[in-house]
Amino acid sequence: MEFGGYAGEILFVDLSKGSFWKEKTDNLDLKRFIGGYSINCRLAYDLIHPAVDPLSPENAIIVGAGPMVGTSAPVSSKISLMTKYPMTGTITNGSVGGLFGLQMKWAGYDHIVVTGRAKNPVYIKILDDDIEICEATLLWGKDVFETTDMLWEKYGGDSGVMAIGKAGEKMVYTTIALVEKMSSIGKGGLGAVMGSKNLKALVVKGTKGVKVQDPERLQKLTLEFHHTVKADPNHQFLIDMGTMAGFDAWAKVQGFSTKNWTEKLPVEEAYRLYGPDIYEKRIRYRRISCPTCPVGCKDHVKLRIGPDSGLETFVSSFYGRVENWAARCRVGSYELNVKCQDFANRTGLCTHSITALIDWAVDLYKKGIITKEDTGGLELSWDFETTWVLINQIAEKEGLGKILGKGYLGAIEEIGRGCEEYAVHVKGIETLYDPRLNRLSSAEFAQVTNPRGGHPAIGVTTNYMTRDRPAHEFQKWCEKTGVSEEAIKRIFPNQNYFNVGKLTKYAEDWWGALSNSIGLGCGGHRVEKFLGAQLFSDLFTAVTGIETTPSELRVWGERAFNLCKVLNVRAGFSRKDDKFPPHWFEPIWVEGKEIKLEDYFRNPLNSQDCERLLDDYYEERGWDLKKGIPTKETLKRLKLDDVIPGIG
Amino acid sequence: MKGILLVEPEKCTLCKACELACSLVKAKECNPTKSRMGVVRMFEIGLNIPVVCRQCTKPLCADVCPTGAIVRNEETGAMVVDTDICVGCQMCTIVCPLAGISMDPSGGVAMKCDLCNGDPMCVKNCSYGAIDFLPVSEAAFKKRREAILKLSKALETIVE
Repeated sequence: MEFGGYAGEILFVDLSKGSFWKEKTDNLDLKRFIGGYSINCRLAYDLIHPAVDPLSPENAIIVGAGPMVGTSAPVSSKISLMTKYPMTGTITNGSVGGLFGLQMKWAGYDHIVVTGRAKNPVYIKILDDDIEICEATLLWGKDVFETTDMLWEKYGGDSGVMAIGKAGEKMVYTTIALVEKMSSIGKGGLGAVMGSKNLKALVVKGTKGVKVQDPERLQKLTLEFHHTVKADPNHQFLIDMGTMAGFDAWAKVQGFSTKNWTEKLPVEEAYRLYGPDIYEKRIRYRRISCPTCPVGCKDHVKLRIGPDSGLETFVSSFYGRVENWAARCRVGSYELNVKCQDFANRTGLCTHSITALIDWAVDLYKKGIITKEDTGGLELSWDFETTWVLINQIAEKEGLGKILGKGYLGAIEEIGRGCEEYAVHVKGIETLYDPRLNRLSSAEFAQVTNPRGGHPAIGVTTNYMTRDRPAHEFQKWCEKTGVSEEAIKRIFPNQNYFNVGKLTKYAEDWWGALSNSIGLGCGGHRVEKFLGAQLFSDLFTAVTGIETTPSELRVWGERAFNLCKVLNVRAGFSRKDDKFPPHWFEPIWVEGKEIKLEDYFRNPLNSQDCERLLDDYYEERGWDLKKGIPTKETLKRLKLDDVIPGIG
Repeated sequence: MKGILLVEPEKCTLCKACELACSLVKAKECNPTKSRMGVVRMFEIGLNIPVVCRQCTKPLCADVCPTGAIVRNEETGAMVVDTDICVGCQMCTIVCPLAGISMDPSGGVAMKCDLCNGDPMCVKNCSYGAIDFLPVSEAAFKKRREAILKLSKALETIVE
């Protein structure tokens, strides 16, 4: 390999034929598509037909680990996974940390492509060059934890494992896969895609390691980084509290939307039932980290009181689960919250999706749009009893749960009766951030433009979950991450404002596409202040040997994002799908007051204002305003001439 | 500096920064199989346990070595393998009760922690304080302090 960091090979597995073969990573166009997310997109352009049925053998699962993954570079564990998702019909990348990506690189593979459908349940074993499609009869039907434990028992506790639960086996759309029991991947139905292929799990381990261009420089940069992180006064707090370090911001400032996005969970209730002190005493057990990250945020939790005392489970993004089960489902206690999350983990259900759908279903019931006839006699409320019945139904594909398990688009089609009016989603995926509470910053705006749908991971620039920070802090982020002077003038027309439409492009290119292409950084935004753009660039050079700057890195990101968009334009997506949820233009009730949509600087926004911001976004991207898709000129500028046929 | 590697498993998060730093400095590549130390995942007991050579006062590895290839560095206190003399008989790996020494996958000789000449890389790269390097007497102080902190937290809970 010309550049350091790459493992050297791409593994193709055809489950229909029961065969596998390898190709050299060198044969890919690395100068255009640097790795990970980016190469996934280029492979998908050839391998995933835009009209393919996501649950058919012809759909592909493409896993990609960028050149930084498997090295000691800080925060370099994230891999990208691309497929066509059944819940949405989008062809997009998800990303996940954990050990899987590192082991994949150490075994010798930059990418793994799985196509076809096995005749019987299988798992794919990858131990360096020892590749096998193994019988999974003993694993099929087992939950995610049991499956992972059995594979660890057989191949060692240091092997990377990606597994689905029963819900994925049954091809429920609201499913994910879990890496090493706790890191979720594939919102939108990866569980179902793997289930449709009879693929229970992948297990991977390697001994080849990864060679880097300049080991001494990498060593020095990594050491400096760890030193800086350890010296930060906030460091111990971030480790102690994990993602709950953000609880105060969420509960007080931003808030958890509840009652199907019509109210904010009362601050008093949030603290009384779910406060950080309770988390510390009754729930938190151990802190776990993705490899190479200095501010690990994953939780090994253990219940200390109540009928489920002793229950242990693993949770990523714990504060997010508080929001989901606490605010959307109002389960009523931390213990019940964890009990539900454990169920979702084991069955492989996507917590974000199922909690949003349950919230919506209860609202529909209260409005009389669905009745006891639809619920099989069950009275729906925002409480634990309703939630427990429905998540079981979703996992088993029974009753109302069978309908909800199809996600918003499928459920809307089946229920009809005007239920769509109350569904808060973009492209079929529930939103996470409520811009009426958070104000419309780039994180919230990106939910509309993300080719994946309302999944929020890519829109943050800086100042995650804060308010009233001055515009110049955002400008500084842009300057540091290589945004051009001209663009900065367009985004920041004066000292007290940024155009969120224009700003979002730069977040998406950096966090969504670039970060996941080279395999550095994490959208969790806990390390953002330590892993600045210059260090990003220096680490990249130390590993690969490619001399570069943040602005040059950006071009790779922009190219990859545009290519991802082309995949979805071919699949029929356009401006009509970049739709602001109508709910955002209704007021939300907060402690007896109505709050309406505003931008970050408190300017009120109506739907025409938002459409204008969307125009600004397309314009900044060099896309056609009416269609909301890349233009030929932009694709040519980005050296994507070969995919121009994709935009029709 | 002369000291001991103090391991505190309850702080270890399985981030593998130690293994990667070790293999990078010793073998010039990022490869845990070439790291001289490693972390064992034990979720079932709620711990991740860093395992590293204890630099024993009465090293069984040196005792059993037929060529005298494992020798004490008096400055750092570390037992160090002289790879020129090591014949690769693997007797050291058989007698060590704590997996402190193993065979180098690339070399056919024994490999073990040499405390990086008194400034261990694993310690410097650990963000969680799960592994530390300090003089023997300071280690005792530190452990006492940690024990009291744990005890006082437990007492808080009981008193409440």
